[in-house]
Amino acid sequence: MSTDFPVRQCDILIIGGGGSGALAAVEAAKHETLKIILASKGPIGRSGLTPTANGGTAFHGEPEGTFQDMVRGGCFLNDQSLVWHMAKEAGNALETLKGFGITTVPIRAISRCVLPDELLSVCRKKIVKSPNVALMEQVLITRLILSKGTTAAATALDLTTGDFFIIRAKAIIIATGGFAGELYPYTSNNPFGVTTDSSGTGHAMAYLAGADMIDMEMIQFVPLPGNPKCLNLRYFPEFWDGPYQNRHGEVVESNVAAYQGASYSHQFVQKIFREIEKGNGPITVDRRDVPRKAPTLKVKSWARRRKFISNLGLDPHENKIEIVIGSHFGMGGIKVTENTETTIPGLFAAGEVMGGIHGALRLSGYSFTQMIVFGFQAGKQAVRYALEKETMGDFPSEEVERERERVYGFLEGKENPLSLGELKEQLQSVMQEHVFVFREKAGLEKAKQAIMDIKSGMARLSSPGFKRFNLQWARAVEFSLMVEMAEVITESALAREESRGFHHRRDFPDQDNDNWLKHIIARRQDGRPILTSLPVDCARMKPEAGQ
Amino acid sequence: MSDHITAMVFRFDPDKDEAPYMKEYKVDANESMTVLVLLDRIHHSSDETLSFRHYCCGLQMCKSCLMRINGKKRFACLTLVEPGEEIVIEPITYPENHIKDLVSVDPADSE
Repeated sequence: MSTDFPVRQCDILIIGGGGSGALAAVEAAKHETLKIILASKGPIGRSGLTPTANGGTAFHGEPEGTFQDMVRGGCFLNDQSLVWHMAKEAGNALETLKGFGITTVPIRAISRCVLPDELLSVCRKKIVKSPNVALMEQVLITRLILSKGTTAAATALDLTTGDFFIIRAKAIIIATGGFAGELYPYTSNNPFGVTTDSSGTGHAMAYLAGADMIDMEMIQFVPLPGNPKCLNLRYFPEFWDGPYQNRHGEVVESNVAAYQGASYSHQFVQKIFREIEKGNGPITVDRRDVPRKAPTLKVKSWARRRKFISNLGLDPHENKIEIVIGSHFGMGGIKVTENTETTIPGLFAAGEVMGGIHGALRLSGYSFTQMIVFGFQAGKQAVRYALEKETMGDFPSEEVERERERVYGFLEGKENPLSLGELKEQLQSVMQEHVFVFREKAGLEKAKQAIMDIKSGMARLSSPGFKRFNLQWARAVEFSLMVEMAEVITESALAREESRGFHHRRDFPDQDNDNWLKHIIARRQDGRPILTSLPVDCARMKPEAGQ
Repeated sequence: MSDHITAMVFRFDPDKDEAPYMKEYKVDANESMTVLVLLDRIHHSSDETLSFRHYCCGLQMCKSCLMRINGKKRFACLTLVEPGEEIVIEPITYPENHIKDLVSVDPADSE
């Protein structure tokens, strides 16, 4: 085995410094004989989407309510075993957080508020204090390395110094969040006008390693303020309940709360989108005549956020706000069991990166529940796996060398170089035009071709040639992974010849429960995604006729 | 009314520069923007080599974007700058704990 690379070794490597990764680390750290590394491309509590969330965490008190809401909301495409596990464990997970001293405040009958900044700072303190956990912040994991089909290592880039190294591990937990942010020009994932780098690198690394991906065509789109400050702030769901008007001042929708999922509903978003397509945009939301509900709960950070939004002139109770439609959440992801196991032994996934739990639509508040339940679960299950596995897998050093060359290759000058900005704009405009709210075969075929062209353009992608804290270099590496996901999303959207939730095909406009109560599974073979389908297991709840 | 913002930005890559220097950028602007968005625009449209922490929690909690703005310690995510203004942007610490340009060891880490 080559020793050319600096090698770090651990029992469990956790990738991602959001809520899921931090909770997995806290759980796994309890086993003092195991060595754990938590690697995150940004500092914990100061990166990713968790800290930007309001913290609404769905919890019905009993599992049936959670389960039924999610499966109806998800148009019966949910993996019911995942939903049931989450519904069953939500209460326990919340109790554990309480035990950590984290505030969990009841908001409504079916919801708690878990303050994200508090959650992350408590977890970070616990992690720093644990002698068996090494925290690597500002480290981008670039590829998973298998040995005989089993998890063995990951390659890593230290973003501060630009050094490349390898981390050997018995088990790896991917907790890298969503993939929908960077793929579209407008996204709630960049709420303050600067990117949070929600780029789906974890999805792509699992896919490139051969893991199954599930229902990647399912992406939630939502209305966002389309203001020139480029702040796509989407706080406080009630802001988005309308009424919405078109440019002629006609009311397009006045009762968004009536939709299942309210402003997170696909039916509502599709209606707004049709209105824009008819040339009746821009669409505005205007709540100046709607009485403001007195906040039932005084959360300090919420008050601060409301004030900030108001100062920016983006409160629809005070101003008419022009909106755009942008990406919000990926319902698809890495296929996992309720034990967070992927289809690769030793590889686990938790949080938004795991697919299938929300089906075709994610309801507001349910991703925080997903984060806490499966964050803990992944920590527990990776511990079990690492304790059982006696030896560390060998890693093929040629593969690591190839990856090092690929990563450093972005720093080299190229003939006819392309900048990351150009390529990203191309990709975003393709996704916006063909793989957005409405889809159809011809457009998806065009997107497929365009994505292939962008993939071949990657060979000419050149970042500025320095190693220290090089933002464009990190983003080039991320982009190379993002493009893989764009391809999988497009192929999955082509394969699903029906409309369900956020996947709407103009050429197949109806939901087809007779033929399409199926998951789309994508797996990489010979460099391309191969798609198959898998019947949805409706053992706990079946759609009634006409649903 | 002026249609641009002038930013004087601290630059230093210890791997290649002998000494720090200030670089001037003019950014088209018709209305106010946050310093963080201003830096993002500079990075996007005129200088890909600029390093800064671009993360923003929007709550003044994460402290990721603390910088010295016109000599004062400020949150870049909440500091608004108007067209016609000239601002000076420097890292929160230098030379100790400095990494590159506007990036220092995360200030919250040393708390």
